[in-house]
Formats: sequence, structure tokens, C-alpha cells
Amino acid sequence: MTTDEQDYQQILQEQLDKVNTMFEIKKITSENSTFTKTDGGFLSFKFEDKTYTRVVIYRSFPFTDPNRFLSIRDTTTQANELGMIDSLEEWPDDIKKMIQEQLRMRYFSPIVKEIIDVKEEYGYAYWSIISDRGPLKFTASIWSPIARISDIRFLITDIDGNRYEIPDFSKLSHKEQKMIDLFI
Amino acid sequence: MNLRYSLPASEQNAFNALNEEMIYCIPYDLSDIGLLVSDCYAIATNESIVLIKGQQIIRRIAYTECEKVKCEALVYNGAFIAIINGEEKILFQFSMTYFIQFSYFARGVDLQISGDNVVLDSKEPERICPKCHRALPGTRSCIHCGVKGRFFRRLGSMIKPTWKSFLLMTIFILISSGLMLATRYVEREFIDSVLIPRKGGLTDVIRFFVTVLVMNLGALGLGITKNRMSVRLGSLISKNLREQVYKKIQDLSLQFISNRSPGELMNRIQNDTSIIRNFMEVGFANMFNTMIFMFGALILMSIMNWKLTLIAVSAMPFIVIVSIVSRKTFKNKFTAQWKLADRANNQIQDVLSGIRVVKAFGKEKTEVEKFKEINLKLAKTQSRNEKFWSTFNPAISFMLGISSLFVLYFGGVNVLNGTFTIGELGQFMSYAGMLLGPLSWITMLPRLLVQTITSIERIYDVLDEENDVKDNERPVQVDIKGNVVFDKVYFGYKSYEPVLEDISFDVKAGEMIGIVGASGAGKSTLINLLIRLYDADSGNIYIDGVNIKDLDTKSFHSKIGVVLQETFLFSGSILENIRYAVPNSTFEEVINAAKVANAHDFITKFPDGYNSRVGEKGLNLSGGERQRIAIARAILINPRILILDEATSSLDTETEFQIQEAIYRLTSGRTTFAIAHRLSTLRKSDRILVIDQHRIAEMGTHNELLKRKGLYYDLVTAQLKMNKVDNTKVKDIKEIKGLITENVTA
Repeated sequence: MTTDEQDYQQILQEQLDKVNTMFEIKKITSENSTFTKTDGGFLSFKFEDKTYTRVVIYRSFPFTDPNRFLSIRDTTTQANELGMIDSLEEWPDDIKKMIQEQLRMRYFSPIVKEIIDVKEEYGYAYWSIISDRGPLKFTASIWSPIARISDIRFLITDIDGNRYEIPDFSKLSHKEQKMIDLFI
Repeated sequence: MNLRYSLPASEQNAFNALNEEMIYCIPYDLSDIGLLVSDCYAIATNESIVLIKGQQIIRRIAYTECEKVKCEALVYNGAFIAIINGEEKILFQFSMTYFIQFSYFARGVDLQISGDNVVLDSKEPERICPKCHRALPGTRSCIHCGVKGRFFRRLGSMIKPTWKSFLLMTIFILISSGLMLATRYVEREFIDSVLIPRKGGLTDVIRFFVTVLVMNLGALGLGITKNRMSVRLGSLISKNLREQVYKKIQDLSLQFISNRSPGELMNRIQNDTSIIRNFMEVGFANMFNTMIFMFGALILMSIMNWKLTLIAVSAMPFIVIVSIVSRKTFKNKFTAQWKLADRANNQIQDVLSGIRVVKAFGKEKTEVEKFKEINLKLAKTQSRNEKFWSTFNPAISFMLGISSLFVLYFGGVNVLNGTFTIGELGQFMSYAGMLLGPLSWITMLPRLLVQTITSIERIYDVLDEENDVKDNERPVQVDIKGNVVFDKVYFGYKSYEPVLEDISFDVKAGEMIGIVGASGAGKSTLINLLIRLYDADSGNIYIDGVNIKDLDTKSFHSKIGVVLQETFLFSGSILENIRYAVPNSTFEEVINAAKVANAHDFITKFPDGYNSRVGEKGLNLSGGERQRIAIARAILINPRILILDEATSSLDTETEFQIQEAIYRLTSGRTTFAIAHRLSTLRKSDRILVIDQHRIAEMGTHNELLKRKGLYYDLVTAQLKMNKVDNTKVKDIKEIKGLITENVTA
């Protein structure tokens, strides 16, 4: 092979490698990887002989399957996927706890437990609720779209951009339902 | 937005103990276990970051300890991270409420860490009024706790140009109301003096008839005049406002416009002015009219029989409450129905737009089922609402009317025991009707007023805005030669996110500079600064030795030519588009410019030639044709400085070549800044600027940079490789290598 042919083969191989990585999903298990909590409050990760000082865990299905198909990605701007955790349930408790803590930090969406009051004035609705993160008040425009995850599960976005979840509209008391009927 | 919240007393005391100067102070609302808290503050001083929780300082990080800080976006919340000894440490988290403010905070702290004492200021408007906690609908100040005086001043300035008509209208209203009240008196006289005692003959009847007819005609005439006047006034006022707002938006810098969506600005020009117009035409005149009516009636009633007046007045609160409650109920039910109808419509639109997909996947039946469901819900709601309304409405009317019955009863008693004549009773009942009738309409006023005041506020929000990119006191009009110097320029669209850092270069007149860099690196931003659409955050730009801020912007813009990636052609003829910057050019000049741009040929081949309409309702031009018209447009200006943003879309080789030629002819002799994508353009450039990570990574000639084997080299060879691999033959590889080596040795 001439050097030009070699160059050609090299370029071709580089491209083929890239294509292969596009299709592959690397499975991360408790056996083939190590997660450690750092002093800084993040997770460091060791996998396939490489150590990452910080990785970020992304939920593929935050609503329908929050603990399955977690994508572990690095902290570069492209956020390359290093692998996926199939199901968190199968993991040993201590690591499971660490990962769930990271997920809790990353995803913030208070769940509405009780609606105290909703007042409408001049195009804005002023909500006062008790959520799973504590009591809170927020303001939403009555025209802001309510995301319907299912017929009974809604997400409300307030004027700051925070999101609140009503997990099951049918389980709310009749009084509460009437209060927010106008906005749903 | 506020970057310096004031601390409550005990927290302030705790902070004072540190003896540091507070620069920024923002509360954060997420605890380390994800609960919402309200007693935490993050403070940036001149020396450190201090965190306060529960009235105590829980953490202090000196700037000397950390290299950098950042505000990281998580999922619907944010985290503040400090990099200490190379490691990322999370300090605290916050909800989206404080995200923008902490972005500024992070940038501000970074500046402090690097020794720069700049104090940042956020220009974003608050979303909630800090005093009354109501939402701010796109205005800077709250209309509920705003300064009342300011509102009246604005109202005054709106009315001032038309004050004479206003005064006249007021007088008409007074007279016509007076007439309407007076007719009742005449009626009473007729009933009591003529009809009841059966005194008088036909002449009296005729006299009464004519008097009342004249009075009514008078009132009618005045009423019509008043209506026409108020409509004209309304149109005039709103026309003035629209013009002012439109002009102001044109004048204001891009910074202002990019802070708001175009839909919002359009709303202010159209919607808000129309709300004000509506108010002027309908609301204001009627409001005034009705007030005078009611007031007049009340006074006359009290004079006639104050006891009976009291009874009538006591009915007022009842009517007001009934009106408000019924309106609210109606609105709630109607809104629910409207939202359902909206959902059904959206579903129809969705499916019809994607009907090809529905059919291709055989999902017709599923879609029909989906629609049936929502349709049923809608039908149920509609019928329920209609049933409710048909029962409710008459009941409300009855309740509103019942108050008159009470007045009639007591009035009747008074007539029977002689304290009231029949005529007087009739007159009184008419007045009572005038007093109570409009009440229902009056209860709508607060909402109408608030809506109008909000619109006025939103319009003056635009009119009061100061232009960021202002011309200097005495702008210089320079005949541009084309020397451009950037001196340590820093810029970010939002001051907490720098897009360009430390940009310095010196370009001589006539040089062609190619700009390359990864997408999003800041190339278009450099151009925006060069043509002064934005002003640099710090640093200076000089054109022919004069600071760009000292130049007369309009005159400067008329001497530079811009050819952008997306050619925007206005709705109009090709001729109008080419002449856009220089409307007085002759046809000969236009044709010459088009010839140089390689556009003359295809234009004359159109049936309408240069008069062909393009834009929205006109010809659909291809990408290449639009580009060449844009080039012709730029050529016509005969600019000394030319800005070129190359299109990356692949055109057929012939058009490619033509465009390249056109560009080449365009650039000769002019200082050109070209965001280049084609290797040929880069090779023709005198020098090349490589932008990476917000800075100038490399600058030099094509050959110099290739020799360096740095970023530029990588960019060029990568592009070649990517283009060639799919049908590469050995011969092509040689060609690529040859291209590179040839340049290095040349």
C-alpha cells in the first residue's frame, strides 16, 4: 500500500469508528463501574479504565420512568454519553442512594399536595399551595399553557419559569378541583 | 432586576461583623436537601462570597481561595458552583425565580476575582411588584402601587393636542344630560297640571308634545355630535400613540428589541393603542355621561323626596353585588368552554396538518377516537352552560328590576296619602331608573380602567426608554476610508454571558479579512459591533481613528454595505429592493450594480423585469438569486466598508461560481470583513481572524496560519477531509495534500 492508500484507509477507519460509537449503548452496572461522592457534592465516576471527576445523570423518562434508563454524561459542552444505567432498582442501596440524591438535586419540580387558594386577578392566577418541598406561593399567567402529561397529570409553569406538578387531578378534593378548573 | 436585596436586621448585623463591603446580595431558596427556604442569602463582597442562613453566616469563601464561579442551569432550577483547587464545588441551589440574578452574580464575582472592580447592573424588568406582589404585565412599574401623579401626567400628554375637542365634548355631555333630566320635569308638569285635573285642551297637549320633542331632538343632536367627536378623538389619540411607538421602536437600539419578543412589540403598537382608543371612544365618553346622569338624578331625587331617595339608594349595593357575581360566574363558565373549544381546534389543526403522517401510519381510527372524546366533553360543557345561562339570565334581570318595585311601592303609598303627586311619582321613577340602570355597567369599569391604565403604562414603557446606543453630543460625519481598529473589546448580549473577550486588531483600508470559527463562537457578534448595532461593554472601536461612538450613526450606516446569510427582501419590486439604501439612484446605476452582481441577466429574463414583485406575495426567488440581489444592493451603496456573511447552502456549481465572482468584484478595494465558509474566499483574504472560546485565537495570512498548524490548519483540513471521504479516490487525496503543501511552500 502506498502512503496515499494508507492515508485513505486511516481516514475511512476514523469515520467508521465514529459511526460505530453512534449506535452503541454502553451498559453501566454496579459491577463494571464505581461512583464516588466528591467533596464538592458531585459524583465522580470510574468506568472502562477512565476516571471522570464529575458526571451528570440525565433521566431519559423523567415522568414515566424516573429511575430507569439513566444516561451518564460527562461535563464537556457536548455532554457525551458515557453509558446508561438500565434500572436503578437493581443497584446496591448505598450507591442507589447517592445517585438518587444527585437526581433530586438536578430535578426540581414541586408536587402539589394540597391547594390552599387560587385567586385570579387581571389575567394572573395567584396560587397558594403545600408541596412536597414545603408550602409555597406562585404566580402564573392564566394563558400560560398547562402541560398535560396524561389526562390527570398536569404541569403548571409560573411566570419565573418554575414548574409544579399535579400528579393526579382526580385525587384532589372537589373544592380544590373547582378552584383550579378555570386554569386547566 | 434587583442584584442588591436589603437584609433583615439580624442578618445585617451578622454581616456587619465581617467588616466587608457588600456588592451583591440575592436570596436563594433551595436548601441542600431540596426544600424551599426563605432565610438564606448569598452575598458577594469585595473580598469573598458569604452565605447566610437562619440569621447566621454559615459559609465564607474568600476570592483568593477560588479560581472561578459559575451559575449552572439544572432542570428547572439552578446551582451555584465554585471551582476551588481545580475541583467543582456546589455552594447552593435556587429556583428559576432567581436564575437570572444569580447569572449576573456569578459574572460579577468572576470579575471581582480577576481584580476587575466593575459592578454589574441588570436591565431585565422585575416580574413581580416588590411592594404588592402582583405580577407586572411587561411594565417596569406597578400600576397598582405606582405613582398616581405620573399616570395623570401621561393622560394629560395624550389629551393635550386635542384638548379643545375634549372641552367641547364635555360641554355637550353636560348640556345633553341636563336636557334629559329636564324632560322629566316637563312631563311631571304636564301630568300634574293638565292631565290629572283635566284642565286644558288640545293646545296644551300640543305645547307639551312640541316642548318634549324639541328637548329630545336637542339631546339627540348633542348625543350624535358627542359620539362622533369621541370617536374622532379616540382615533386621533391612538393614531398619535401608534406613530410615536413605531418611531421609537425604530430609533431604539437592538438591545431593547432583543430583550423583548417581536410579538410583544407588535402587541404594543397594535393592541395596546387599540385598547386606549376603545376606552376613549366608548368608555370615557360613556363613563363621563353616566356619572353626570347619575349624579344629577340623585340630586334631583333628594330634592323631591329624601326618604324615598334613601330607599332607592339602599338598593344600590344589592345591584352592584348581583352584577359582579353574575359576571364572574358567567366568565368562569365561558372560559372553561373556550379552553375546551381551543383544545378541540388544536387537535383538528394538528391532525389536518399532519394528515400525511396519520395516513401513512394507518392511524385514522385512533385520531377519530381521540377527537370524539374531546368533542363530547365540549358538547357537554356547552349544553350545560347554555342551560345555566338561560335560567340564570332572566333571574338576574328580575333581581335587578325588583328594586324599582320597592320604590314604586313606597312611592305609591306616598301618593295615596297625599305627600306625592302622580306626576311627581312618574318623574321620580324616571330618575330612579337613571340612577340604578347604569349601575350594572358601572361595575365593569374597574376592569376596563385597569386594562386601559396597563396599556398606557406599556406604551410609555417603550416611549420612555432611553436609547442605549446614543449618538454623542456632536456626532462627527466622517468620509470613511476604511481603517478599523478594535481595542480590547468585551461584549455579551446579556452582561453576565460574555460572547467576545479581549478582541483587539488593526485593519487597514482596503484589506480583506476572513473570519472563521466554530459556530456560535462570536463571528456574527463581531459584525454586530462593527456596524454598531450594539455598543461594546468595554473597550473601544475606531473607524479611521475616530471612536465609533462619536460618529453620526445614520451617516455611518449609509456608508457601509451589508450582505447577510439570510437575504431579507422587503415586499416590493426588485428595483425597490436594490435601491433600498440609496432610493435616489438612477436606473442606470441600478442596472450597473445588478450587472456587477451577476444579477442583471436573470432579472431581465423575468416577464416584469426589474419591476417584478418579490417578498411575501411576489416571486419565489431561489437562494442564489436572492443573494445576488443583496449583493447588488450593497454595490449600489458603494461602501468603503463591506460586511459579508457567507451562505453555507450548497448551490449548483455554476451559481456558486457566479456568486463568488460577484463577491470578488464587490470586495476589491473595499475594507471587507467576511465570515467565510468557502476555502476560495479565505484564500483571497489578505488576513484571517480565527475566533475560538470568545477570543481571537489566531490572526495572520492564509499561508502563515497553515504553517502554524494550529486551529486554522485543523479547520481547513477537517473541512477537506469531511468533504472528500465519501467518494474519495487516491487521486483526490493527492489533490488535498497538494493543496495544503502548495500553500505552505508558496
